[in-house]
Amino acid sequence: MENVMDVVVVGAGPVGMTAALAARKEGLSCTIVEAEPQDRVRAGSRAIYIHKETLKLLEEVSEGLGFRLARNGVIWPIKRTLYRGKEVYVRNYGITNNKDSKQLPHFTSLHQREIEKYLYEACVEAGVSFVWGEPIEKLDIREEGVTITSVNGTSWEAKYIIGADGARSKVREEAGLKLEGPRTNDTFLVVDVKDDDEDPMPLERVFHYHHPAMGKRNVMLVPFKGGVRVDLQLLPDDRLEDYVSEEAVKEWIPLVMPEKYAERITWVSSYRFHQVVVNEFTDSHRRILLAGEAAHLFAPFGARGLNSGVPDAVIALRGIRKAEDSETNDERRRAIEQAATERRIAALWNRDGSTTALNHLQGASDEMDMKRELAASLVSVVPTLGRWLDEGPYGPKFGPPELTTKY
Amino acid sequence: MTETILVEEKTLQKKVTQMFGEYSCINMGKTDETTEGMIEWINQFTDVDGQVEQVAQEDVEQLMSTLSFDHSDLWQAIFPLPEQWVQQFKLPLERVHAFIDPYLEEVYQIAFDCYVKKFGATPLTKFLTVQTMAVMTYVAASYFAGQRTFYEPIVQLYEKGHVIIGIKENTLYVS
Repeated sequence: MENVMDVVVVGAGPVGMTAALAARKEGLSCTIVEAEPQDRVRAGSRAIYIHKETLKLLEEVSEGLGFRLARNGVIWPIKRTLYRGKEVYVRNYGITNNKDSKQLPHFTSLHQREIEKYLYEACVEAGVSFVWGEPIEKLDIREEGVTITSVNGTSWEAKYIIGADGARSKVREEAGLKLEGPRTNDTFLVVDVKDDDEDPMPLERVFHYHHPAMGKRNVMLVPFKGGVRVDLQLLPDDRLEDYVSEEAVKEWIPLVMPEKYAERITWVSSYRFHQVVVNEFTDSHRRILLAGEAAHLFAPFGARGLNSGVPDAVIALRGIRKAEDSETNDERRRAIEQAATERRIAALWNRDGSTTALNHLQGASDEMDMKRELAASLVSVVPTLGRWLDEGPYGPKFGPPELTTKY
Repeated sequence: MTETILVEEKTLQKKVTQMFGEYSCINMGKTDETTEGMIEWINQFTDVDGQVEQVAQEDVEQLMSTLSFDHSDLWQAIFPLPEQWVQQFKLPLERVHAFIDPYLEEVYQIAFDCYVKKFGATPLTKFLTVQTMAVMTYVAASYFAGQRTFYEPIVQLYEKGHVIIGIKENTLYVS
């Protein structure tokens, strides 16, 4: 019968495609249903950084994929942190051979549109089918399975649904699940610029506390393949329109990078970040599992978004495989619950890590401001303070013992 | 402390330990000559119109939440000093770096013990402990650079049972 699948993945972003690859790896039939057309322009600044642990998971679900992403990204060897123009930390990791076919690098940096391109190719190779332009209208969720229906009236029957349909997830809504948590007070601007191949920016991640040309505003520059991302943190009393319009961006970009980049802007967006996690990763019948931004949203510091979305998808499919192999419905439910519980613990930890990073960055906290000032003053005498300043914007690195993945 | 610590480091360590000995914060809130000695200390920053203010012990907690480095010429004068002192160190930099961590750990232990006896397990104890660690780092750096006008008044202040609370604009608060 047509449109009957083991797993239907809702959302054809990188997390949805990872889920589909994981499904195929587990020997499960799978279709991805995406609301928008295939050639859609994706809003938002998107991911640019994949940790090694994520590359390993992608390599696990599709042999060669991790290495392909590594080869096609950049690995910046130097990170530098400055405080009011004074260098307080620099570390040079040396050049990594991203063409190494045996060892994955510590990370790779390429734009999400490139990440999705390689994921899509892997999905097609693995026999994942895609359905485009079918926004979901409703889910009929039962203990035995799910009927999923689009606004166009097309239906699919599935044993399990992976909700990887982003922040405004229809799957989450239909499953009766809710995101919980605050929004940040600060507004951040994210600007992507296209690099100049003839005379590129140095391959360095640079973080400025209180950039000398930008008042007390923090600025981060992160290279990715073919471009540079500029993050600007606005102050509480700043007017957004003074920084976000095309004219405004062209005025302040030359204050933080060479002037030519004012004419090479490819994306501008502003954010007040949510720091939210869904109340449960699965529904009452244990037929739905959420993954990625359908389940959690946090500020990007520490690159925890896609790097936790990928393990969400992989753990979800491991859970579904275990559920399929179980002999009773109770066992099946437990398998799904286990996966959902583990990923909720991960999401809460990632959210807290991202909040720690945000607290470290926010200029409005007098106590933190003073702590950073002191650290920057004393860094020549106590070099570990420089490392603290450098690492602060990323939050803690290692998660609680319940996690079987790093993020 | 490890046995590899050499003479200069031991001298400084002994000074700091003595600071928190018999007179540990015992004279907080009292005005005497030693706190007035800090006026001489602040006068070394010739471009700063600075002043020293005595704070009663019971007012410290309220004051601490208002402290800031904003709009402070005094802080702007202090901020770059450690980097300048590094160039003047009488010891190799590696030795200073190797000394600092265990030194600060000991400062933490003796300062905390001193404050918790007086104020209990309170935010004030936490604040004063951290503040003392910061001040003692400047003491160490200025000591190794031979900058007596910077560290001696501070050492004398703590030896006599007083503490530095912090800076607000161009006022140094002591108690």
